Amino acid sequence: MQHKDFETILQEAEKLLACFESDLTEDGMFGCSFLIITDKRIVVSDANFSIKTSVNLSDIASVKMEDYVGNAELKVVLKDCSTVSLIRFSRSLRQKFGDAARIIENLTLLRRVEVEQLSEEVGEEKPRFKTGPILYILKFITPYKFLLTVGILTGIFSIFLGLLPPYFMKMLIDDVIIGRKEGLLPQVIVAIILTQAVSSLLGVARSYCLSYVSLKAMYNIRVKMFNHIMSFQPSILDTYEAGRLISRITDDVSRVNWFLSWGLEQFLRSMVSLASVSVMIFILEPRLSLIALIPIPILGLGVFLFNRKSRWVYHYEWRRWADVSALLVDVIPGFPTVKSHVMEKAEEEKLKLKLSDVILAGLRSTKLNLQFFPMLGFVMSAGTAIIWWIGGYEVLGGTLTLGTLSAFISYVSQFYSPIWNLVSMVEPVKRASTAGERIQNIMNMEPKIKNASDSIDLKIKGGIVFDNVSFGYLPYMYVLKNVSFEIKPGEKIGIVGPTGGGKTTIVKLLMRFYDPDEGRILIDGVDIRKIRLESLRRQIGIVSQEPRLFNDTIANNIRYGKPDASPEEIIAAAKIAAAHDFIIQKPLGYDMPCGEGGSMLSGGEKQRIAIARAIISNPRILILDEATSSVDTITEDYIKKALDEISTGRTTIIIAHRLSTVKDADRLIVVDNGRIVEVGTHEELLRKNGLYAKLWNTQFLEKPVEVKV
Amino acid sequence: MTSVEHYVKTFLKITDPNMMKIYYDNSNDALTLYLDGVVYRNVDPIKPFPLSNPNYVILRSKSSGKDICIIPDIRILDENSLKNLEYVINKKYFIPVIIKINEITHTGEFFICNVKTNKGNRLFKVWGRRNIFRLGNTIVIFDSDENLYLIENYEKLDKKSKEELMKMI
Repeated sequence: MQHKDFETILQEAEKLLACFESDLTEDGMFGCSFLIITDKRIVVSDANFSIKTSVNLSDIASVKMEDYVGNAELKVVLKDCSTVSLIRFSRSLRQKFGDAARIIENLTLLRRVEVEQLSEEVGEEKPRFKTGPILYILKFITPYKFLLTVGILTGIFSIFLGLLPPYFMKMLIDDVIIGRKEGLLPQVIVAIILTQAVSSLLGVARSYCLSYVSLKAMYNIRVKMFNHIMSFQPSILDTYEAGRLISRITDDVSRVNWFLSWGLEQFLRSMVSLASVSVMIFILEPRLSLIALIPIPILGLGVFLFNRKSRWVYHYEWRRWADVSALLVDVIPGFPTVKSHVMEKAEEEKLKLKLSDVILAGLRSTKLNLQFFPMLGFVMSAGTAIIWWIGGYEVLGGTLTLGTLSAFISYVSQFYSPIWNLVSMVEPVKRASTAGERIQNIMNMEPKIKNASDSIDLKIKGGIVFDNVSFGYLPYMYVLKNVSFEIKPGEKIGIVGPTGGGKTTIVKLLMRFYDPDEGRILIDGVDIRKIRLESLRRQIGIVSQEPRLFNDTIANNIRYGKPDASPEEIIAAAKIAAAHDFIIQKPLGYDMPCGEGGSMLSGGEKQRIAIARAIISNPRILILDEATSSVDTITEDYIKKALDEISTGRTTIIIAHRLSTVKDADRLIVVDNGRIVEVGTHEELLRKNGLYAKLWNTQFLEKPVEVKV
Repeated sequence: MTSVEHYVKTFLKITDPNMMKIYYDNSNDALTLYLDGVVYRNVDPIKPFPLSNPNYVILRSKSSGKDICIIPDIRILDENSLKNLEYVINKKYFIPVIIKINEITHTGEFFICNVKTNKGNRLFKVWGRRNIFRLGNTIVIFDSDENLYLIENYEKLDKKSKEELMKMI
């Protein structure tokens, strides 16, 4: 799609700003249509650039995206209150058209639009890498240049040593056996033995150096990938499932291992070997050497064709493996759920399906290999046979000695060997390159949320303002819409409302896991985008409904909130969280391991350790997100007492379905459908007889009333 | 506002070991503590960090179930107090330290360990790797009967013991 293609649509002095391609036509068929945004109009055209709809920007009042089953639609509401349907698209393009909606809205609100930036929207999305995947991977071995050079040089030196045995063989046949020079025999034998011994020693040195380099490089890649992934917000899991990320760090990095350890060295060795053996055979017998070159163009063509076909085949295969990893990471931690629902068979079927896909993908790549490599091997063998044929006649005719032909054949096998090595390398190099590309994909992603250049460390007092905040996990699919509220420092606020109303989203925005689409969030009067992320999050303690503990000791899990905490601080935090008594009953006390995800502790124990972890850093804002909903009433009572203790005088936000948990809060904010519907104390809200009163009555009246939410 | 720092200062009684006396009460096999002119009987010593900080001890009243005080380092106690405290603690925390591993074999789900500990030789079963915990160079092993064994520093084991341990970790 070229820029000039759109010129037929543009009017005089009209400037193209952006273009979005849909995958549905106007009549709902799969096909192509365009949403074209200019500085004057929004134009919708079909694939032939025939205009279907045109709306002047000045007529637009607002933009909205309607979400349907299997597709969605972008609409504009005009200033005369009429609605114009612009373009339909499948749900996979919602993100893209969400961006389009934002651009239109920016233009209609006369916000400043970066035209240069928008122009980039024209064209296909392609990953732009500064270097190819192989070069990218090679960067990781540069710190080990010395050992790598030693490994490569020992390899190259062993090539030169490898040139000697055929020459010794020629001496054995022509001089010792046919020429009857018996005195030369021990010298030649000793020379052969010495050559082999030195070659073996060089082999050991080479193997060690190259293995060391590759292991260190893999270590570095994995650490760098891990750090890079950690620099993202939890929202990265919206894009990549945990299993797929794990697969990239483990499987994909393993796949580049061969290339880093042996591939590079084998490539250089093969090239040097090829050059040196070429010189030897041309010196020995130029005419036969020309015959030896016959298979080369055929091999070149074969490799070229293989390269073209193999890339997608390998990508497809890796993705199938990643699917298996994702499934296992999902199912194995959910083992109790699988068992309790007797879904073992169903999960087995799912795994079988994914593994069958792996087999099919593996067979596809095997078939591709078999289409090329046996044929290329045959071509090289045929080359050797032709040399035997022609050389044999020459020996019989007396124009060539048997020793020279034997040495030549031996050199030719050494000539073909590196060529075959290079050909054989194509497949693993392609695999490494594919894996490298997947690593590069992750490493080139930029975290959306990061510290601004002018961000500050703020000593938080605890005042929070949500100023007209709107947010959706997908553009224009708002979870929160125009939410505004203020919390004073030290205030205890309860956020209540029906499930899916946006309560937890408020917390995620406050923690800056996401940025609002519109509006701003202020802490002590400072926009949180101006506060350093580390500073912000260190001063917010959060306890969620299902806290995640790490497979470490209880002490280290509590210390997670303050790595330099003293033993006294750990004990104090545990005491405040009503956890100390059960901890010291454990055989190893605070040194007791928690197991994977805290599997060696009960739900209430995990919850209390999570509370201790949240409060040890003395957070200025404490968030309790359904912190007591999954524990029994006795444990809840313990936790409530602990929470009352720690929330006094500290800005505390309690999210709860169980309204008894929050009724004593200073104020309650009732959220429904992404909007704040009521604010007040428990008594005020009951008197108001609104949604809160209905929810309260549902939970606490003997006869539940029907609540329409 | 109850902060952790405030709680440490106000509610945790961190005591100077020189300011206390600990006696062993034969009659009920418990400790008696003299602290700040107060006598506490039936005192239970607890090691909250038996591996990472083994000299850190909490003294707790058995009758009330409340902590009396914290001793950050019991080695500073006078000789008799330390002896009395260690007598009870060593009974309470029996964690043999593995000095040498003679052999580890594998049968079904179990590892069978033949080891030499600081408390004598021992043969025990470990059920799977789930019961082996690595905390840095320290390794804690729970056997199938929930007895505890400790390898204080993996790096300091002899070569043969390390090779045997490799079968299990």
